[in-house]
Amino acid sequence: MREPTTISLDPIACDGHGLCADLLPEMIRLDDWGYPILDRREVPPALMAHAQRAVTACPVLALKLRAVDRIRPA
Amino acid sequence: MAAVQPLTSTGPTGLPRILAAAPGSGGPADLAAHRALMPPPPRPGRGANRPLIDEVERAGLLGRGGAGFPTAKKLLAVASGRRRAIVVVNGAESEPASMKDRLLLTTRPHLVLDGALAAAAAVGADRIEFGIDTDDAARSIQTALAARRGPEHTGVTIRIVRVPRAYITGEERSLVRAIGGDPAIPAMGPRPFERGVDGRPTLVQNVETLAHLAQIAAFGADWFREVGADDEPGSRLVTVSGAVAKPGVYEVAGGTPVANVLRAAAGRDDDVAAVLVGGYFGAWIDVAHALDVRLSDPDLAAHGTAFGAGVLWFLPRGACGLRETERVATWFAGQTANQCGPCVHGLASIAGGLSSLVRGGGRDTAAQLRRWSDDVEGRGACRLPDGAVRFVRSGLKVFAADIERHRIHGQCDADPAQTLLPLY
Amino acid sequence: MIATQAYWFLTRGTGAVSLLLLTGVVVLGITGSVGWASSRWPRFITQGLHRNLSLMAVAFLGVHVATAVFDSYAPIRWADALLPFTSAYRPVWLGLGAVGFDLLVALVITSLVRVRLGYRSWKAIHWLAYACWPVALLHGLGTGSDTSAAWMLLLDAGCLASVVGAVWWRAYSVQPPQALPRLAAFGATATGTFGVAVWLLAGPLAPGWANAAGTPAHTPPAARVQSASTSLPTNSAFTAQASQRANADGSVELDIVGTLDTSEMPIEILLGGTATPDGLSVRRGQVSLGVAPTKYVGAIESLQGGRIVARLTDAAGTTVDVDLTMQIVDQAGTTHGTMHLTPAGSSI
Repeated sequence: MREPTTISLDPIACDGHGLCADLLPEMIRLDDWGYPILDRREVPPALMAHAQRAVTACPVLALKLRAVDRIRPA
Repeated sequence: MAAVQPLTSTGPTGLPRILAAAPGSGGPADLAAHRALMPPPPRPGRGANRPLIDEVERAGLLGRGGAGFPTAKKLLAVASGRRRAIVVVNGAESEPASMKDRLLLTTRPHLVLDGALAAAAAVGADRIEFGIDTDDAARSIQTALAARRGPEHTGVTIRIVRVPRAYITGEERSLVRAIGGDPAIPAMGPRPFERGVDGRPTLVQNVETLAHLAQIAAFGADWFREVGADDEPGSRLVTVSGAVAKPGVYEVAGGTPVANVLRAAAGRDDDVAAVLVGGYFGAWIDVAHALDVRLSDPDLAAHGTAFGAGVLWFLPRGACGLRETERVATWFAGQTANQCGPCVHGLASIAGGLSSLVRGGGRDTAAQLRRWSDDVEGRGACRLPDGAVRFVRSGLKVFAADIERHRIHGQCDADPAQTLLPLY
Repeated sequence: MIATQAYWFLTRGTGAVSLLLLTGVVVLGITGSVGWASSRWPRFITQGLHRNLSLMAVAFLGVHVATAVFDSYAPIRWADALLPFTSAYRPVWLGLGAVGFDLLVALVITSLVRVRLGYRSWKAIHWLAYACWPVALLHGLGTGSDTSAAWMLLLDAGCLASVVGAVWWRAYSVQPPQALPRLAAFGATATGTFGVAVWLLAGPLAPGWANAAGTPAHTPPAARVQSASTSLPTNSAFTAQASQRANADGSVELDIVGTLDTSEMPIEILLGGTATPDGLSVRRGQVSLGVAPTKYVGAIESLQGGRIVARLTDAAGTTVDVDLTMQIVDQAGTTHGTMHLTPAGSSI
């Protein structure tokens, strides 16, 4: 994806499998209970392939890559 | 297009306002007694009632369900939807320490119904769903509806849906799902104002907010702003309890200092150790600061809380704030929707950490609790963990002395068996 | 003919490897489901290996299907690999192979587009994996030429044990612990294993399976324990040496001894009769093929010009029809011929 992208998580679908943290440790770390804490900044181009892999690897497809929403404030 | 009702009648002067419409001799369902105090609401039509929405905006009405969101903005968002809107009355009073919504539903049902119809008129809705979690409130609305059939037939479908009494039920998306027959827990997806009940734009509004909306529609924005402050216009209901001789629901002007409310409820400054403002979704404020705080969202934000559901609970001197905080935190952990890992596990860990502080755990435990609170915040599908975390953080700050006392002595002077804060 | 043999070997070989690979895929899939991992074997390895082995299995199955079609031995068409139970060759058991292949294709394609498909739909279809593996196993047992071979039985048992163990692991890992999945898993695997064992003994491992399974008549008997070197070729050329002997009573015997061109299998034709001005008037004759213990012997049924038809039987009772043509090409007795064999079916 060319446009700026971030990783987003569906917290209801997430079951704490943790593959994402193994595959993208630069932007995802696990909390004390095994659930991912995401870096909400833009995914740098160098990590894009890894981010894609992390999204595909999630056993429950809880992760998504989203275009950064510039219109609505955080 | 219907316009705002011409001001043929004037609203009550000063306070009370929404609590002014006291039940007449015919009981709360007496329509004639109610109509003596205010005219019928605008008729809901096909499209939005823009003049009414503008009036609400001028009035500066904020939601009284806990979030404090500007009502006019919500009305506009729902009215802008492509499909015909639906109004959901949020009668699921989640806060255990709050009684105002139940009071309004059981003693002023016609005021609430007027508000729901005014809201329907504002957004052009043809359906009103009441989400109610107690039998007496449901019966009250049922009886009032029966009294209106015929004399005030509007063509709007009005339904009452019994929803479970749980903290999560009052959350917007949970309530919308419960109305639709699904489990009363949040799901990911669009907000109700975009797609709610039956996929239609849905206005979810608290019972008290609708009561004020009815009066704004009847008496106008200028009247509404006659009472209250610029940063908190109009009046608000507060449920007062704890170290007071006259607990109950009071109607106060926006911006009233906490001390005034304490006195009105026959409480004494010396008897109070701390104040819980906003409910379990709010925060503790130390008594030294609390009494002068004005009940307005901007002022309260400076103390880490908000008006919220309008709960003012006064912790008596001699009671253990740490224990009360731990009780609520444990209760919170049981109130999750059981869907999101950080909330389910985080709140359980936090409750465990607080129990350990009560038994005498020390600074490491408190530091860990702060770390866990930071980790849990914002990582659920809804705001329940955020509210719990805000409550716990304020407890850790305000009751730091109690934490030390428990660490050194293993307990404090308070009776360990004492349970003060209400829970369900 | 060499080419035909090669296709047959490849079909069997790729079939066995596919079963091995699919077993690995199932075990890895379950390893992923139960969430097992170690510091040296993170979960994405399990995931990646599961994916790669399944793609490899598809590749091997492609060769398996293609070689089965190209092999002129058995009448298998391309369509038989995709449309279950329509083949002329062992329709039920080959059909299971088609079912398994269809299921695998569905599993693989939905997994490749998983992100687009959405988790719930993908998951619903992925449960079919528990149907796909047993189907593949039954196909192999029912269709396979090597089912009764010791190495094949060992392989099948090993794969079955692995999958049964993995299914139990899966059922026991359900959190919170529940009795129903455990009972169901144990019940299903126990019944399945017992059922397969009983069926094996009564079916593929018992004599007469080839016929019962629907092997068409012109296909050589497949359910034989012996290896390929003693199985009979359908068509063969042979070279022999003819020698003539005169007996005291005036009868003449013509003894033609040789071997089949490609397999060195011995062939002997004995003709007895009386000499005539233009040759030999044959009264009796016998053809024998092969060596003990599978030596086929039989009386000649008809003889016309250089064409002999005979029905041969071996010690086990297997009967084969021979249709051969021969010609003695020189005075030294060099004989060239061609032979066509048709199995007459096994004896009961």
